[in-house]
Amino acid sequence: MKNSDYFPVIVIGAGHAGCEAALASARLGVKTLLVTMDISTIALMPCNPSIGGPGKGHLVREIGALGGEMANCVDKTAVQMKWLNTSKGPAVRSRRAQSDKIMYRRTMTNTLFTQDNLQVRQGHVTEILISHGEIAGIRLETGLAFSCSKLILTSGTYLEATIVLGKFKWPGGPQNSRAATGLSESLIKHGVALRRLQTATPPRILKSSIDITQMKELPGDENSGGFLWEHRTDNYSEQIPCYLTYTNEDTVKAVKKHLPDSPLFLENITDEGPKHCPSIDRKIMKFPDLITHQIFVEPEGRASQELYLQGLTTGMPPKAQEDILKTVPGLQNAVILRYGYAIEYDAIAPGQFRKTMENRVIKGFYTAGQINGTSGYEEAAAQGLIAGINAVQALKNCEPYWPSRTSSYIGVLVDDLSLWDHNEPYRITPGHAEFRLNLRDDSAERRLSEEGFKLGLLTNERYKHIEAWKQKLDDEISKLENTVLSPAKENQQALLALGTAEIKKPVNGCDLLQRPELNYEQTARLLNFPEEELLKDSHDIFCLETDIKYRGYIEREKERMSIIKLFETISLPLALSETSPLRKVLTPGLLSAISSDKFDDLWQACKHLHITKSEMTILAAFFSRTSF
Amino acid sequence: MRKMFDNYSDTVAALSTPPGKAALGLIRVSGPETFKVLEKIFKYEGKRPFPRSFSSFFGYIVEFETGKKLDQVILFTYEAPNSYTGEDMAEISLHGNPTIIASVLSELFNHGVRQAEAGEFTKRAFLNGKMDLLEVEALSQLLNAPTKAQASMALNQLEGLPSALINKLREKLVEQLVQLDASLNFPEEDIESLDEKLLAHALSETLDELQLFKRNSQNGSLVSGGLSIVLAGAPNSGKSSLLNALLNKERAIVTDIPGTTRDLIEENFQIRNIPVRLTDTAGIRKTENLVESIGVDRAKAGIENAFMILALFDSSEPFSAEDSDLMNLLESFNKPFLCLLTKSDLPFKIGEEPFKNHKTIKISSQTGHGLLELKDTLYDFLKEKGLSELENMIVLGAKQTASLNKAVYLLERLLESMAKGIYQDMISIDLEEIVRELGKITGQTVDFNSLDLIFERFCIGK
Repeated sequence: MKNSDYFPVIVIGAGHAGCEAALASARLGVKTLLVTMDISTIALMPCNPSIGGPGKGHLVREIGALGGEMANCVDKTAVQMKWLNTSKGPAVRSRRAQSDKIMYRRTMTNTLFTQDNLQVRQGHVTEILISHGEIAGIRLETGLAFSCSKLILTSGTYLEATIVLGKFKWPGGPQNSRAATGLSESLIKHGVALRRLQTATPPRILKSSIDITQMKELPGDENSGGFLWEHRTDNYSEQIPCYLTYTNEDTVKAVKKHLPDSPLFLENITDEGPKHCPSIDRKIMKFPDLITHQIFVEPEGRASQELYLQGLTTGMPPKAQEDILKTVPGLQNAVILRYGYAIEYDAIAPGQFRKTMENRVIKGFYTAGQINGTSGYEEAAAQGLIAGINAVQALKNCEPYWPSRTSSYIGVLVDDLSLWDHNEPYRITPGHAEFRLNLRDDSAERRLSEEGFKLGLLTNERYKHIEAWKQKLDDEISKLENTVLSPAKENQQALLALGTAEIKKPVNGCDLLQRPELNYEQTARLLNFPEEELLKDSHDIFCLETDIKYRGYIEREKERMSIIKLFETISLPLALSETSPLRKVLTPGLLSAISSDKFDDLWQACKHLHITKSEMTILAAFFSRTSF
Repeated sequence: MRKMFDNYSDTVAALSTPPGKAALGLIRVSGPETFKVLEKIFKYEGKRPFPRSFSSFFGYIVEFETGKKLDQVILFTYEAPNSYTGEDMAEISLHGNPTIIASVLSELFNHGVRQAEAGEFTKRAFLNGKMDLLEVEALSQLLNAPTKAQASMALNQLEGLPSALINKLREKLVEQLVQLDASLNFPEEDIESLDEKLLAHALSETLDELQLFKRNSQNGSLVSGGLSIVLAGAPNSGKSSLLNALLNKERAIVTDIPGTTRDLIEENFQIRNIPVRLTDTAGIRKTENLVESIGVDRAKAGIENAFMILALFDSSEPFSAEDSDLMNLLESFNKPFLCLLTKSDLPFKIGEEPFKNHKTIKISSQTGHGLLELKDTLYDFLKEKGLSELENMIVLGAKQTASLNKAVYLLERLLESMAKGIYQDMISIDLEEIVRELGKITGQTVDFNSLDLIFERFCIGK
């Protein structure tokens, strides 16, 4: 590819959001430029070395199903894979990977460099260029300028970043890299509102300096499979364990002793930080009676000599960090390689971007990732993917794209985030997803792959394979649905022998399988399915069983889901004619909401205004007509 | 005719006559489920097919579960699209007593019908092409103005002790839900996972309490609370006159014709600072008159639900067979009662003998004789026995009754599925719905998310 000063899409930042955005754009056939401050820190994980868990793991599965990259990269570089919540139900069950930070970076960097249509360039962007209220390009500190039609800014925690360690502060990005300076001023100049957020990271210690005999070993699961559909049954045989240790009274004492040096206490940092990931000083301040806090000791990579101390996040000064470590079993002699620190950075103010990640003020300007007020690699990647897709959709004059919150965690994320207005970053969890029983790990492809294919992110071949697999399950499900067990004597005996109740009338296979005590194999045998036609693959069987066992619940929510889905397709603002009948029947509050640019779709307005069922019914009736 | 409600419409009902006391009430029901619901709770004689467009049926609204007659009604049916709203529609013409109206509405709500909002019938009519813009415009000002109907919806805000009780039950479940959701959302935190046996225990305890609450609640009563005191006595024993004398106003229609008071007439009233609800009943006597006999049945039911009874005996007449029936009835009910020997301004003919085992007060509504003694006696009695009862006394609106019933149903269903074995992710969804439903009873926000509470209560740190 030849250097050029125009790229239809430019992405600033090569973190997890930037990588997905750039890859999506390039894979959709658009010439894309990715500008990063340091090519050697592409896809850096500046904080914890893990990816996944409930909600987050669901996002990674969905990124894979929709045609993003993170799932693939995690699978290839994980040093540990583990199922969480296995006993609590398939809807909250999720994988969690311990990632090899170095390998992850290397793998993702290679993917970027070998991607057609994508050019990576090192540079420090200090200015955005605007023409007639629309994005027009960027300028670098070197004076170089590039023009573009769409710009995606994924600045993570770099924007005007300040590192805080005790009472000391200095400008600096993650791991003491350079902060991105100058760009904020340019954004503000063009009307973008910003806010300050903070986060922190724990100290990293030398592997050989800990005593694992004083800790609990936490191994992974060999048979967990990977996040990407193609890796679903992969075996991870060479895993590295994590270790668990706990704080004690001495730790609490040490923290309390040094509290006067905590940035929280000194108030030399904003208080707007992640409450789901508090620093050890915040934990002790908020829960002063709690003595034992978990500390997970996690490898930073297979070949790395560094260990990450999950749970000991802090911006307290070096001496405090040393004193705290000395109290923790197994870490008494730990050698600190990098001290923990807090970081404060610029983020986009709430309500400033749409579900497409496009800015409400500047057309063609998108933001994704931590700059949008999220925390976590997974949330960043999901936004990057959505921003990349939408930049291209807009470029091609196609409809904007966002998945429905009724059918994906990504949908929940973009919907929640565009309205998120709290003094803390957003983190996805199953609790945010009211339809979580439908948004299971096992059903990601059933929910999203068709959309990914239609957008152009899934290759024909990949889609064909996934479709064939879906068809196989669907066929088996209809077979169960259409085969009936009669209440004949021998059948009743067989049922009783399986520890389940007799049937009163003929019952089909799906209904039988909805009984918690019956599994697929037992049901198929009751129905006399030929032995050679039975599903054999345990993953296939799990998916089928889960699909059927959750049907009753999905059925109950069907009506609500269909209204929400309909309302999500009605983009706001609506230009209502003077004579529109809606003007007569809706309350003034709802009328002004649907004609303003505050919400992206009708569902957002309804939810925000707590619209009553009666008005929802009216709206549904109105909008289910073809023209209005 | 544009028909747009195919997929989304639900069925709604509302009282269309102004709230308050009136001889007749009209409840409108509109939506696709109208006739399906009415087939369950409307019973009529004869073989005419039901429903039929522009037809009227004479029959009863019954309580579906027990078959108990709630009221005698005339039902008009209109089939879509030939109705005011353009949907399947029915109008129930019934007696104007608020208690009856509320119980009929409540029965409809129990079958999935929703309370219509102000102006909703008109909106539906418009959307189904039954009205043009000008008509709607004329109506829209009315719709957007705060109406009496909206003001009366404030009645549905539950206050005081019952609200505290429901909140307490809800809090208990929230506690469990937060624990459960914390362990589901943050599996790697040091959070005890849910003990399903403990949860099941808590759920069935809650269920018991809710069912008790349900029994205590005056199902479907729209009127506000107070201890129910029923006036009972033979026809023309002076019940209405006493009621009027106590309230100092002409309330019940007072005539010399026995059986004038055919409905329950209720009045809220305070004895010193204790709220009571005085109910005047139809005279209890054997009757051939159909309408009156409904009133008599209702009076008996009123006594069953009463906290205490004031039994009236006309002291100017000898102790009659009806008086004797009443005495037997009272003794059989095992409820506290006080014998009032009325018309003390007239010659005393009834005799002391029949009352030798009971407390009596001689009164005259005409002269006011004995009324002060009556109030003092009532106050002492209520203060001693009634206050704790008052705390248990719950008056629910129809919507709240529907939520209460739904919560009970959901709890039963959840306990049943837990016994069979379901996943905790499903328990979480069900429990959340129960908490939401309970919140509706006390009028709290329906948006409930346990995440906020999780961060308050647990030190989430991974």
